[in-house]
Amino acid sequence: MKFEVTQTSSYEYERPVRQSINQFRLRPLHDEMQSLESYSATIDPASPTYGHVDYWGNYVETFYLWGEHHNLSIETVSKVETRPTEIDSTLVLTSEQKQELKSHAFKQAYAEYLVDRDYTIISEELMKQETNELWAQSRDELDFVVNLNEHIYNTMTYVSGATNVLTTAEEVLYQRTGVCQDFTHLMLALCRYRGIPARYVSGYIYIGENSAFRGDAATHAWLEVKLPGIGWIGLDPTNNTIASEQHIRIAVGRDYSDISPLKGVYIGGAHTLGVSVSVKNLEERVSG
Amino acid sequence: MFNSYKLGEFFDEMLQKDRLPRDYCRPFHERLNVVDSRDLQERYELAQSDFLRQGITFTVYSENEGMERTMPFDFVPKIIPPDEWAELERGLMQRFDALNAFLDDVYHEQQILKDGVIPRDLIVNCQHFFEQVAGIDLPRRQHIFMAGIDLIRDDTGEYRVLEDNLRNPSGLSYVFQNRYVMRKVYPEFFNQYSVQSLEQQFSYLHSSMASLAPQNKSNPTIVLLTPGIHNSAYYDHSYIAQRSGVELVEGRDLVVRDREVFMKTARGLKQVDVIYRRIDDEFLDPLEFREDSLLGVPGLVDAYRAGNVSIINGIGNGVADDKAIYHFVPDMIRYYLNEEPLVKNVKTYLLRYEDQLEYVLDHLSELVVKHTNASGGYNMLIGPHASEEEIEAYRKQILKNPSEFIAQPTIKLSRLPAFKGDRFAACHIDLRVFIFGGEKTHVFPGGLTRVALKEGSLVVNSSQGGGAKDTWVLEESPVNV
Repeated sequence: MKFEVTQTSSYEYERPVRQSINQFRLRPLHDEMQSLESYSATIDPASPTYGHVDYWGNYVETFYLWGEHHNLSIETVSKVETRPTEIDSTLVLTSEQKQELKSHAFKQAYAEYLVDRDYTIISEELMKQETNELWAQSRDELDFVVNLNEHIYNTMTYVSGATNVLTTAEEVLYQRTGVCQDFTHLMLALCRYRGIPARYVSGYIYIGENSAFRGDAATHAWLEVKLPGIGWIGLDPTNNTIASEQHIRIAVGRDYSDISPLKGVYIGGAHTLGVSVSVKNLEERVSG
Repeated sequence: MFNSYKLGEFFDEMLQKDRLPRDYCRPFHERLNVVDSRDLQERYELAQSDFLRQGITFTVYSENEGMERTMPFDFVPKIIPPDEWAELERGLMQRFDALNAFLDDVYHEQQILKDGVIPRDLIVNCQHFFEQVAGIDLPRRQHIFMAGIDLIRDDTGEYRVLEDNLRNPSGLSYVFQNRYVMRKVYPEFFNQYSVQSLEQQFSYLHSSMASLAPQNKSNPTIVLLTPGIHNSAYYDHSYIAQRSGVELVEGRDLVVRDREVFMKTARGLKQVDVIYRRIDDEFLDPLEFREDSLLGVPGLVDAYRAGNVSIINGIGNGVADDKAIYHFVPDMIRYYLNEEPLVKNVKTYLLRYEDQLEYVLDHLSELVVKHTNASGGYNMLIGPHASEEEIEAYRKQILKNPSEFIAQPTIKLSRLPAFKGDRFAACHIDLRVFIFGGEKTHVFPGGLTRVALKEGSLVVNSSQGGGAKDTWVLEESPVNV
C-alpha cells in the first residue's frame, strides 16, 4: 500500500527558550519490507538538520536553535510504499530452524536483542509463570509468539493515560493495563526470556475508516522477532495481528530508549508538546 | 634497620634470595644502612607535610561520606634498570596498539566479533559499550590518548598486567609530586644514580593532545574538562592542565553551536578543538547519555560525530578495559598485530562459563574474586584473607549473577622495603605506567608505584590505605660506583 504520512510535533514553551539542541527519529525506514519514496522535514523557526544513521539503522536528525523562541514545530512528510507480509503463521519450523535458534552462533549474532533492558526487566519467576502454559502448548517458537501476541491482547486492557513513557514491563504485568508501548515492552521481555531475539518498532498504523485497529492517534509501537531462515516478523500485541501493509516502520531498537522519536535540551522553562499525525492512503479510491 | 626484614615467598625487588642487594640497588641499599633513623623520621614528616601544603589529596569514599586524605609517601623508590624498562616499554606499546585497534574495530566493523575471537554478547551488551559513537571516525583512529596500565611482578619477578585503564586513569600528577618531594627532601639519595628525568614529559603530553586535533589542525585550542573541585581527582586535573598549558574548564564553560564547540571567554566565544575530558562517558552529553547530567555539555557527541572536536580519551573506551574483557587482550594482540604478547596477563577465570564458575566456587578460599563493574579494590573477595562467613556471603552474591564476576589466583605481588620508623618492612607494590597515543605512541618513563603500607596487605589502592613511591628508570649509562 502507498501512504503519505504527515506528522506535526509542536512545542509550546512557558517562557522564551534559547540554546536549544534537538534530536529526532521520524524518517521511515527504507528496507526490504517497505520503500521510502520521499521524505522532508521542516523546522520552524527555520533550521538546517544534520543527519546520521544510528547503530540500529535508524535515521537521526539533529538541529540547533540559538536565538530566543516561544514555539517550535517539526513537520515531516513521508511517502512510503509497504509490502504485505509473507509470514504464514501456521508455518511449522523445521528441526534445522529450531536447532539454529538454540545455537551459539545465532545467539551471538542477535545478542543485543536477547538482553534485559531497563524497560524490559521482569523477575524470572513472573515471566515463567506468565508463559509456562503457552510455551507448553505451542508447537514451536513461531507458534509461541503468535499465541503470546494473542494472549497479551486478550489479558491486557488498553487504557491510555494509565502508564507513561517510563513505565516498565514488570509494572505493566502487574497492572495489566497500558498502551501499545507497554504491551510491546512486555512482549519483548517474554520473547527474550524464551530465547527469541526481539526488537522494538516505532511507526505509524493506518487505521482507515472501518478498521478496528487501536493505536494512539496513528503513532504506534509493536515488535519484531527473529527466527532462523525467516526475516524479522512483525507482531502487534495491541491489535492481535501480524504486522503487515498497514504498519509503517520508522525505527527499531532494543526498547523505547533506542528509538526515542523526539528529544531536546534547552535553556528555558517547561513546555507542552502536541503531536498530530495524518496517514493518507494514496491508493484509496473515492467511492461514488 | 634490615635485621627484621623478611623475604618470604615473594619476589623482593631490592634484595636477592641471599639477602644481597640486586646490582642496580646496591648504592641505594648501602645508603639505607648508614643513614640515621631519627633523621629519616624527621624527613618523613617533612615530606608528608609538603604534600598536605600543596593540597595533594584524594577523596576516600566510604558509606557515602567523602574524606580527603594525602597519599602516604615512602622514600624507598622502585628502581628499574634500563634493559628491563626497554623490554617493558615494547610490551606496553604492543598492548596499547592492540587495545586501540580493538576499540576502532568494535565501533566500526566488529570484525573480531564476527570472527568469533571474543564473544559478541560480552562486548555489545557491556555497560560500557556506547553504540551512540559507533561509526564515528576519530583523528588518527586513536581512541586512547592516555592509558594507565597497572603492572605487578609475580613470585618469579616477571611483570604481568593486572588492569588496563583506558577511560580516565588518574595519578599522573602524583608521579611528578613524588619526584619533586623526593628531590627536595632526599636529594643525596640520587647520588650515584642517573635517573630519567620527567622534565620533558609535559611537552610530550601537550604534543600528543595537539596531534589528535581534528583535521590535523595546527595550534589547536585544547581544554581539560573537569567535573569540578568536588571530584576526588580534581588535583590531578588542575595540575595537568596547568603544567601542560591547557585551559581548565567545567561543562558550563562550554557550549555547542551548529556542531562546533566553543569556550566562553571574556572576549566572547572561542572555538575548542581538543577536549581532554575527565568526566565519565555517561555524564558527557545529556542529549545522548544521562539526561540528568549537569556536568556535561549538550551536543558534544554531535560535534564529535561531525568531526569538529576531539574528545580524549575516546567515548566508549570502557568496553576495552572491562575486567571481563581483560581476559581477551592477549587474543587481541595476536589478532590485530599477529604477535605474541610480550607482557602476560594474570590468569583470569570468567564466571560466565559454567566450568570456570564451578572451579571458582570450589576454590573461593584460594582466589581473588572481583565484580566486573567495581573499581579501586571495592567489593572484592580476597579468599585467603577472608573469613568463612565472608566467603559464604560472597558466594551468594556470585550466584545471583555469575557473569558479572571474574576470579584470579592470589597474586604473590612483589615487595620493596618501606620505612617503618625504626626499621624497614617488606611491603607489596604495583606500578601504573602511563602511555600516550597520538602521532607516536609514547611510554612515560616510570610511573606511579603504589605500595600496600599495611604489612601483609595486598591492596595498594590509595582509597584502601595504600601509599606511593617514586619510580626511577635508570639511564643507559652504567651506575657510577
